Amino acid sequence: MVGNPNVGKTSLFNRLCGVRAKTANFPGSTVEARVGTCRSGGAEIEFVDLPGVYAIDLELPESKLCRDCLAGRLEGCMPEALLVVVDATNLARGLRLFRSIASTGRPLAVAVTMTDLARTRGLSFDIARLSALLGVPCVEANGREGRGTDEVRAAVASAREATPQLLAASLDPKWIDDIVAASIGGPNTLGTDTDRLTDRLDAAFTHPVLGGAVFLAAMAAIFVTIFWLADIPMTLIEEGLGWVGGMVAANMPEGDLTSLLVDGVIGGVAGTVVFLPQICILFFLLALLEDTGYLARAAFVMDRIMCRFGLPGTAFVPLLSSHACALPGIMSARLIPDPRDRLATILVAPFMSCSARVGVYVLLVTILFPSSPLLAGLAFAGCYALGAIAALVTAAIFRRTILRGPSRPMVLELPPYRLPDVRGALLTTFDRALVFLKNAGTVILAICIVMWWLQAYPKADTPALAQELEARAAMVEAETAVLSDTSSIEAKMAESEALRAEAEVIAARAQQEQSFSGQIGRALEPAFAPLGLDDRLTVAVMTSFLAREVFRSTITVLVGQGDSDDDTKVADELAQATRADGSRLFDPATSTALLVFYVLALQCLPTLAVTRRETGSWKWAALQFVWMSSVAYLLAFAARHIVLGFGLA
Amino acid sequence: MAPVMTEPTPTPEPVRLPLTQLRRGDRAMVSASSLTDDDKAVLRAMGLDEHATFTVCRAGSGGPCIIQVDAMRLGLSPDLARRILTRPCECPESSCCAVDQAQAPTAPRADGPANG
Repeated sequence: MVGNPNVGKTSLFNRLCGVRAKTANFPGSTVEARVGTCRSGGAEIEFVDLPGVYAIDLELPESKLCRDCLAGRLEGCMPEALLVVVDATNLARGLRLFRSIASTGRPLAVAVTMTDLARTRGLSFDIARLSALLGVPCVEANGREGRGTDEVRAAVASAREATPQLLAASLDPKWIDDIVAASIGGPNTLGTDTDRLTDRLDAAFTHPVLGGAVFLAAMAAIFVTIFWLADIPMTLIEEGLGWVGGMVAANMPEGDLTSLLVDGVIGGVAGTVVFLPQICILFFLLALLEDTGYLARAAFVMDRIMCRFGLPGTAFVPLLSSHACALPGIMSARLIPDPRDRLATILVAPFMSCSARVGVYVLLVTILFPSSPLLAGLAFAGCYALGAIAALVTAAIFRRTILRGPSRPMVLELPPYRLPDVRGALLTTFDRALVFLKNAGTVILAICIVMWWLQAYPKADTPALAQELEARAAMVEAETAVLSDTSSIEAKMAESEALRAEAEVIAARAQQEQSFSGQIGRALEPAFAPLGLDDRLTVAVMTSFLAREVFRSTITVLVGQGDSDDDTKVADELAQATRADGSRLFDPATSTALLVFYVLALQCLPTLAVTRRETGSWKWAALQFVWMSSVAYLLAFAARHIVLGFGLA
Repeated sequence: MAPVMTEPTPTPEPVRLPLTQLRRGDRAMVSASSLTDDDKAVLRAMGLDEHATFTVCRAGSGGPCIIQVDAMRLGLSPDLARRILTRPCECPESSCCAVDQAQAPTAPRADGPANG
């Protein structure tokens, strides 16, 4: 299926193939196509929905993919026939593409879409005449409403069996005008009330002030909806996978295999899959918004700001999405047509403060400003601002150095305003969710297993103190046997539980210190010492590379206290923690350095996996990691010394 | 007496305005541009080739320039629109654009960029 952008090609593809379609990445191509099958008269037809193109001879990735497909150079994609989808309201443009495709000599069929819109403009069509003039089967189709899909299948089947013919007449410069004149009738009522309404909406949506306000309101509505709607399914996923982990732990003998399944596989993947609801809702809402025609207008509003940093206006949506989670943010960079712009956006997206950082921000800000909610609030907002500034400055640097080169000119077709296609948006969401889950089930799963191994091995012996506490807990439990008073039994049980919890913390700390990750942390301690980090903080920072939220649980274990849901309590206890020399572990300079480091560092291996997938290379993921870690380290170092300069050590 | 040399009357150059200086509702034809070949190819494929006529739906001051080419609306960034030179049409029919311009005065529009 080949066609210009915004002609309803993908809607038609979705209607033809439904959920039996999947996204295909062809080797050597940075753009993707969708492949799906449908049945026609007992035979199976495989459709490949190629990206929309204005011409197949342009030096653009999507044009190159089309050329390769038409020439049979794509692996596993040798088209037997081509379905050219043309827009009835812009037949001349569609015929230009048809003419270049016809020159390949492959069998062709034509699907004419948007005929309903053309009729509202007073145009009439003679499809039979168009078919006769082009010499190929032509049918009317409407993917949104599902009209004409049987005819499309039949047309493709008949084209497949027909002998391809080159249209000698198509070489005549007036050929397109003649065909349009012969097959379309009626007055074109362009400039009618509908177009005047479009003019007014365009003027409002692209206005420097009003357009910006509308865009911010639209984005705010999307993100409020995401957080509001995603909360319940995220909790269900967390609890559901927690329950599965609990069941596995309860029904399998204690040991390494159980630990691998519970902590490595289920726990690790749960940490990523929990974001699936946010991803689904984001892509569903973006698909709806794009379908209304609004997103193309919004791109121009943001372009004025973003272009100063070498990014296009379309980069705003991925960057904003990254505030929920960098994974959907990076995936939504597919909206950006220019490869350099897209790459720059992907590389800087993880700078934006995601929801996984919030826990660390709250903890450190509470330690820094325990009695000043105003300063704590300002510091919290400052974290978001620092991340956004770092992203924009990095983009500007990359676009002037390694990604130097002209951007694609900011010219976009502005599709007509219309009601969104909910079915199409659901199919897009389904497709994106599958891609995400596939990634979570392969690369991210492998990363989780490796990280589990680094934390679980080598095994540490249970410390004597932990054994003693366990023994005392057992004795306290035994004492309940001779008690009859319920309150006394409860008190003893609580005492026993506290002793066991303390023993667990001591054993976990010993395991952390003995494990490979602990050893790596200690080995790297000299590197992090300039930021004020001791061995425990270094281990906590290193384990955070699995996921940032691990920082809190790791540091509470290493400092020798249990984790708690009460942020203030945990912050108070950590604020009291001391170093070997008796000084505060979380002094203002160290806490500030840690906060800056967590704002800027790329401590999320799933993000690296998604970057590799979206860019097609580990090279870019490595650059992203090295750059962000370097920036984080240098600015954290600077922040520490600024605070020290104020005498706040 | 030396013969008097009369200079030939110069043919008036057609007015060529950057797209950003057109007003809402103006019709014009693309005359030339200072774009790269690749950018020109993209615009050509979108229907905005040399001699294509269009109507301005939103003038490019302080925002994108929106034009209608055939049945398609295109949005162009001000920076891009500034680099596209156009010949304004004096009549609503696209076919008369070229004829208009052969007779048109050479002075550029003095009132600067138009607001949409």
